[in-house]
Amino acid sequence: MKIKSREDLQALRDKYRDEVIMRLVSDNFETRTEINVGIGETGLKTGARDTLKTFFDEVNLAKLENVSVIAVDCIDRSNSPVVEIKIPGKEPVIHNKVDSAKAKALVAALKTEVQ
Amino acid sequence: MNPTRLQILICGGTGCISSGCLDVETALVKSLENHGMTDEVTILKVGCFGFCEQGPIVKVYPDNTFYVRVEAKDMEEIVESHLLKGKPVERLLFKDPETSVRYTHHRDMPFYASQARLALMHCGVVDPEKITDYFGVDGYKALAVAVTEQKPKDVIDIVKDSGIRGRGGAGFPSGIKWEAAYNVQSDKKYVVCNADEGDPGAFMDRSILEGDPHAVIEAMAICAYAIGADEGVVYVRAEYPLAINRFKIACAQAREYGLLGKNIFGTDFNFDITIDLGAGAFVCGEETALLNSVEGQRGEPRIKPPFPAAVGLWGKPTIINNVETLVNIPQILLKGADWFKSFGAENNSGTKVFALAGKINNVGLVEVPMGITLRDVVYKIGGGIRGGKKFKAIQTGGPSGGCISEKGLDTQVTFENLQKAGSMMGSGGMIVMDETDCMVDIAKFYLEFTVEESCGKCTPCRVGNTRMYEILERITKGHGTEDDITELRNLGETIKATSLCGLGNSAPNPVLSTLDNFMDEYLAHVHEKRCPSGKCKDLVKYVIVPEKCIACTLCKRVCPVDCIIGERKVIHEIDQERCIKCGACVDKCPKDAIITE
Repeated sequence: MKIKSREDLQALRDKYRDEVIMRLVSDNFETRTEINVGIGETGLKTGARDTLKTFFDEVNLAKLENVSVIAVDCIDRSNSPVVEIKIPGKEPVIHNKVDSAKAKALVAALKTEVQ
Repeated sequence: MNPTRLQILICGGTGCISSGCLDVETALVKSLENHGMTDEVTILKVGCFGFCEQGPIVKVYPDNTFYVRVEAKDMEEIVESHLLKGKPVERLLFKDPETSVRYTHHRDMPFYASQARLALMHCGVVDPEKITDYFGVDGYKALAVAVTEQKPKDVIDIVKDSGIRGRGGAGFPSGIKWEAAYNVQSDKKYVVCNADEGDPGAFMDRSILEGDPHAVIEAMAICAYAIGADEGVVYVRAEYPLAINRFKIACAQAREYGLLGKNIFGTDFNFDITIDLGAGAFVCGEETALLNSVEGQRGEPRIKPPFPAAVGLWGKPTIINNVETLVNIPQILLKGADWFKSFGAENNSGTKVFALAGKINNVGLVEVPMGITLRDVVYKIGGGIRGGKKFKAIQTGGPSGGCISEKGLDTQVTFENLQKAGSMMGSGGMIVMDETDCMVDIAKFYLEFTVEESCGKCTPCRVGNTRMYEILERITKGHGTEDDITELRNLGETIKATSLCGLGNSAPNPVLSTLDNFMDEYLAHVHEKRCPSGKCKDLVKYVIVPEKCIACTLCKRVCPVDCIIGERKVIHEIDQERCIKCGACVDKCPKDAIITE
């Protein structure tokens, strides 16, 4: 495909931005929002991987560029899957027993907060 | 393609390829298959991260975990523990040799903390073989804005205002150079990218071509638009196969998208690039010698003026810029001259990439703001001298740079300051020497290189440097006189003043700077016929101290010429006639009984 104008280039930029955005924001850990999903041994048994996937898909869908979804070791085994949300300048918040539905709700709430 | 949850970057620079990153990649692919995780991970081979000593480097996003010295056998553990269960593999994190602290994020590591990455901004971030990655980081936007909205003069004004100066060594303001070429009327003009990186040990240009080739293409196109050229040449040494290959791929992709060729961005601006391979002569980094080489003539410098901006390639106005200079241009246009000026020092805006090497803890490619002190480079970024030894000198500017001693360590790195200190910026080599290095021997070593690489066109360089080399040879063999030292200085100053090009002008620097800073070592060689660091073999005598020798025969066994006399329970002695002064016995002796005299 030949690029014929600035608009053509902008369209390509928007199309491929998703692929590089993770690498660009990951270095700004003072300014990025982190969603840490505990997927250790317990997490794997309690469905944390589905929770993780939902978070990742929802964040992408909402185009929250400065939010990273990170898989970490288990945070609290008795309430798994446990998710910690860290917004810069605020106290981290822990959410217990987060399933896919709850994950969707949390991203929706986050959307209004970080944008 | 949908983005995956995890992205894993494997350093694919020449350095990491030699330390085995390709096997690491294969092992990673296999482990991911075993765990059924192939769809969750994107593997990218990127350009140089700079911390080559710790390679191969593997970086995991979004966690931003930075693994060092990764081997193929480690990949299973990374996949199982980190990628599957969220638990990073601690033992593969970088451990500071001084403090034993382990670092998860590269940004916290002392090696990276004082750096500012502008030229290397995309190295280790974008996949150099994917133009789409470059689109994602606003690639080619600066070119788009330039050709569709700005006049050539506007572009030149921004570059001028940014104050960027040539990173190849001379430090000439790039904007003024562009303006000169712009002002010349001609039916044909050229843009040449100088990627003939000749300083031994320097590899910033190679790393940029390997890690961010599209930025160089974009910058060349911007330059062509600004001066009114339609043809570009990249002159790169043939011994950089990976850089050449990646650059070729990048050019082909740019052509496919119409970013090289005719009617770029739908305008009447045309531009394309050809690649010209050099045979690796040091002098061909000099711009006019480079032009001769491109034209198929001997790589010998031309007399200036006329400067290439007026009479260059094939007699036409030509801009020759170094790779590192060019790679800064798109960001300057995107973010503005003031952004660029916010880095660096007065009249020395921006950053400079250095290849840090020698007797230092952290070896690699570093990019620092201009104006940083040499002390910070050596101790903060470099992590101090290896093995707890004492610092002796730092040599900047490649083989024809000068050696700066302890008292010059607080010099702020700028084009002018390094020159005042008897050295130069050069293309950015930085070699650190410790107390065991002999400065006379070092001067001789560098001069040998420039004598070898002299093209022979002008007499001062061809004959003068050879005479200087012979004198140094005499001094290091113990036949030097005080007159030799005077003669070295006379010759050096004459060669500097009268040589035709930069090679000759700077070749005496290592000698003159060591005369200035380490005269005591020259005097020891000349008066006492002694080499204080024991490096000059002809002046060294190894002897065994009988009181310390325990007659264990270890030294005797390691001696390659069997010149150690003695056996068990018989104190050893070295036969001076046959000793070749290799020092093997010194390293082996458990009692430090062998000393140099």
